[in-house]
Amino acid sequence: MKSLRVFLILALVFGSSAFASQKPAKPSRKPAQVRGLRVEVQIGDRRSVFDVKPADIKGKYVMEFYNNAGKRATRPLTPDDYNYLLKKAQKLQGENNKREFCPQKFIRVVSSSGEKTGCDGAQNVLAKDINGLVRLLSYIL
Amino acid sequence: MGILIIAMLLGIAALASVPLECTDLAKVACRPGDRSDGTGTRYSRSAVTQRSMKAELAMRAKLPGLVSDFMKEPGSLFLRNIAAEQFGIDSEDCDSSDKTVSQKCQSIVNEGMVELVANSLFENAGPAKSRPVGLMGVDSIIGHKKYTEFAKGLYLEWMKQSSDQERTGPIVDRVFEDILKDYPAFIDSLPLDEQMKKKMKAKIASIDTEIKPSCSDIGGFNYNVDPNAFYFPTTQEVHFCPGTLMNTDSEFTIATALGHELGHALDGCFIAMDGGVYSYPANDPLQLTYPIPNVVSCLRGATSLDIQSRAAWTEAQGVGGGAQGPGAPRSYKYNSGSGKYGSKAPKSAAFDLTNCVQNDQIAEGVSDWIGAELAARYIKRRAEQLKLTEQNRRDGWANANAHLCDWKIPSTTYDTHSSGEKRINAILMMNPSIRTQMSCPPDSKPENYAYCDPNAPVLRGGYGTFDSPSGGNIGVPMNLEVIIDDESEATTESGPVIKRGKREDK
Repeated sequence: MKSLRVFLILALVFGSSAFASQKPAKPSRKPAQVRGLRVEVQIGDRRSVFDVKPADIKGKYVMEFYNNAGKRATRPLTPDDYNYLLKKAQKLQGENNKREFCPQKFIRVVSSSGEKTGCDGAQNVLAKDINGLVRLLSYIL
Repeated sequence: MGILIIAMLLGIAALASVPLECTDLAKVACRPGDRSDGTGTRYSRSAVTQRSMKAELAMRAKLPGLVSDFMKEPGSLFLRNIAAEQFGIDSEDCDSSDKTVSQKCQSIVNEGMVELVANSLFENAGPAKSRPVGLMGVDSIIGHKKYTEFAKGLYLEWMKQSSDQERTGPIVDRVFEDILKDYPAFIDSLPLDEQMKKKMKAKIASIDTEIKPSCSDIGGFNYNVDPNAFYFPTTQEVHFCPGTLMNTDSEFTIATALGHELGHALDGCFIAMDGGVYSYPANDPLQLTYPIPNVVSCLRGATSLDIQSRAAWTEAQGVGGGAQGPGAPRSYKYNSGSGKYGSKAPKSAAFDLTNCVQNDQIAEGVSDWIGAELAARYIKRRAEQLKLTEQNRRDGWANANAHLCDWKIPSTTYDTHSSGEKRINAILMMNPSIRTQMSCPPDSKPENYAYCDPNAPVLRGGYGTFDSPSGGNIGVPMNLEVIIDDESEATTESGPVIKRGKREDK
């Protein structure tokens, strides 16, 4: 009986240490799927975020907005509006602007076609198109 | 017993006589109502709303005439046709095949344009408006170059009306010029070698001496009403948005705001721009070797701004756990170059400006600290010139950062700034010169904050674990560890080596 107890204890100790030595499996990191559209605008100390969201379970599309001055807003979108905004974001062409050149004045767009960054006020095609997208989002607001 | 009671009463009386500005400046700053300080006034929210609404109403009244004139211009013909297609789509009067737009159609188009322009100009001023046309239609108009130029002109016109720029503009220019002149003396006061001082002064000398009063109105903010200012490192320009002057014309506020923006020229991140002043060693995770490292270290502590990096903040939100709470040893983690918090830059190129500015509050923290030093110098001189009273000076320093009371950051969002309360109480209120200007008794310093003294003992080249939480000016214990957030490899070959050690007390 005593030997059985010793055996059980040993089994527990070795079993647990063997278990502990196993490295926890790393969660597989899949590229995040972007649905909808996020636009972040940084001008000086001010930061605003526009989230264009895909349809919820009720089939409604919305644009959510917040900024670091405490403003929050939600605006309804029609399916046409939503698709138009997404297409406009996906069509953004050109080399990403380097944020080193505009760390205090830039706009970042994240959509299913990746991330695009434009310097506010810059005259390159991407920056101008991104600026146009933000003006449209601001209009909806 | 009687002596004890008398001593207690005296103690209570002494406490009661300490002005609140000396123990909780933020509380005074955030009190509602207008507050004049002898140099100007910080206006209450309701006063600002009234002024902006008045300016908006005046502008709204002008819009129909301005739009009508604009649409009549020969250069607007193409835009007019686009607008007629959009606004007149349901009207027989606006048959787009008809090249001559009828008078009735013109008025439909003009009404639509007025609504469109008003929506762009006054986006923060009223409730959401009905959209006259579909989003694609709106885009075809507001994306047109002619429209953009027109809207920009209207914005500038409104800016002139709303911000009283003719009166306040020269004040801003004067304060800016004076602070720039003070900057070299401030650099001289720092514990730096002569070569570093020379480089810093050269950088300050190349700052554009003309302040930029215009700010774009993009992104849901309207800088005719919303205060904002920023330093643009590539051009070395300071932008000061007119909305700032809607809220205040106090020189305390203007000096603090401009001091902060000028502070960015030497902050932990922008100091490395232009290559002349300072280059971070490849193995420096951020600013371990910043020229005044003890200020940086102090600002990171809980007795000051309690600065957070994005990675540490993310961890505090529950990703990866981590000790929390005031005074708790914190792990300040900085990503050395690659992975989800960092850039795609190789690890050896540890310094990355974008990540420095966006992923660490230190740039703003150092700018707050420098800003307070510069503003204190300016105001000290100005207060003597204007013979400001003690109460003026207390009110003025309460006005200086009062706009931060409206600074609301969603708890789920990382912001590059520390909380407004800390920016006021830990920086302005703890500055020795400002305390003297407010006639704060020496023993009235709150225990939970400390001034970040540039002459405090330095642990240059690495902030280790500080055993004493109350150790002088340095702040809370802080473990600094460098994480390499790269799944494929975690080598320290090119990464920084952090020395851990105890801070030596003075």
